[in-house]
Amino acid sequence: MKKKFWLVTVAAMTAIALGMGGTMALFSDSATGQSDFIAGTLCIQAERNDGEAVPGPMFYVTPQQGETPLGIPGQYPTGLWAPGDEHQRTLTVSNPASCSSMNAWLESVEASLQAGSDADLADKLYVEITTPQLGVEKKVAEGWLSDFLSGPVAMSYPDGSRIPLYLTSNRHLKFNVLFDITADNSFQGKELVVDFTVHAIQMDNNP
Amino acid sequence: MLAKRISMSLLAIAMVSLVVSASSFALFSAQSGNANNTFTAGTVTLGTPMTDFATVNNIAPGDSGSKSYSIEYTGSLDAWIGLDVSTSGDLMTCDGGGRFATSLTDGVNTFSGNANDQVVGVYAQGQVLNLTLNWGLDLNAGNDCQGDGATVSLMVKAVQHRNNINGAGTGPISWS
Repeated sequence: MKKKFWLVTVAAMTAIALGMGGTMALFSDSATGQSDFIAGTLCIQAERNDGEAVPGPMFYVTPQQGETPLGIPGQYPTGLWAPGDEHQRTLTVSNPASCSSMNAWLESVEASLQAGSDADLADKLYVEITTPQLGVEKKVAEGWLSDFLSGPVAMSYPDGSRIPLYLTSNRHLKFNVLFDITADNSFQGKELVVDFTVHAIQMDNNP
Repeated sequence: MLAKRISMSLLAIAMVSLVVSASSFALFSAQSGNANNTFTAGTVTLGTPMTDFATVNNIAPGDSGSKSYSIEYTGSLDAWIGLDVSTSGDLMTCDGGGRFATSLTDGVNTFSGNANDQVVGVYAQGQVLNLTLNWGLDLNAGNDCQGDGATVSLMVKAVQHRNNINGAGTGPISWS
């Protein structure tokens, strides 16, 4: 009977202690595993690069047409084009870590025509694009400007290999434009304005 | 019930296939460019003649004179200016020929009265070509020349200078 009394007393005290905020110290532990999946980004940037202020067009007839948004005139105007004229300008394409996180292939170049342009002049302007391969300048795309206006013109080295643009690197694309010597008088005074666009695609998992 | 399960399975397979098919083309890409590239062709043009040759009547043996001709080069590209000149008519051949003589000059050079593709020089926009046609009928011209006439035909032409220079640098490779 006495034993039963003590058991009831201990149980009652324990219940009171817990009710008053007492703790029972049980050993425990836990761990969480977190997996984050963040898609990378690919972005490229392009600027003319013939030693003059940027941004601005590569090809322009007058210094005013080639000026930057801050009003710095272009230094290398082509002047008016005559049949047989040929001019080369450089576009440097970069793959900056500030907005990109992966290597890329340069895939193609296309052009778009601005309103009011004489589109038929594009049939007489031949475009060649070159870029170095192992230190040697190689032709990677060519065609009449009208071909570039029709859609992207693929770029690849003469051996068929693709053109890399590694993360944080840049690449010089030289645009050589020739005004066909056979252009007749119907092309006199004609003008066109085009925007060139370079396309790139991820290199990883895309041999 | 079985048919429903089969159709659900087929639908699921179809959806998976669609996802796999679509994802195989979804590669990250980017683009950048260069805007406002301007290409403007120049021009090669001649203005309206400012003065013109005119008819001379009642020429007598011993008469001589001159007529002037001027034209402005208005093209935006520098150009070769050239002359095609021809002379015809009975007055050129009467009394044995050579009684009526002409010469054409720009003040510096003298040009043939019967030759094409004669180079005057390289002209820039706004420059004016002034030509003078000198003529004379020999005082010894006989009656065979009475009533005869002669016509001097002159064509001034221009062609682009750049990318069109002959090996000697004296004229164009081609006039057209």
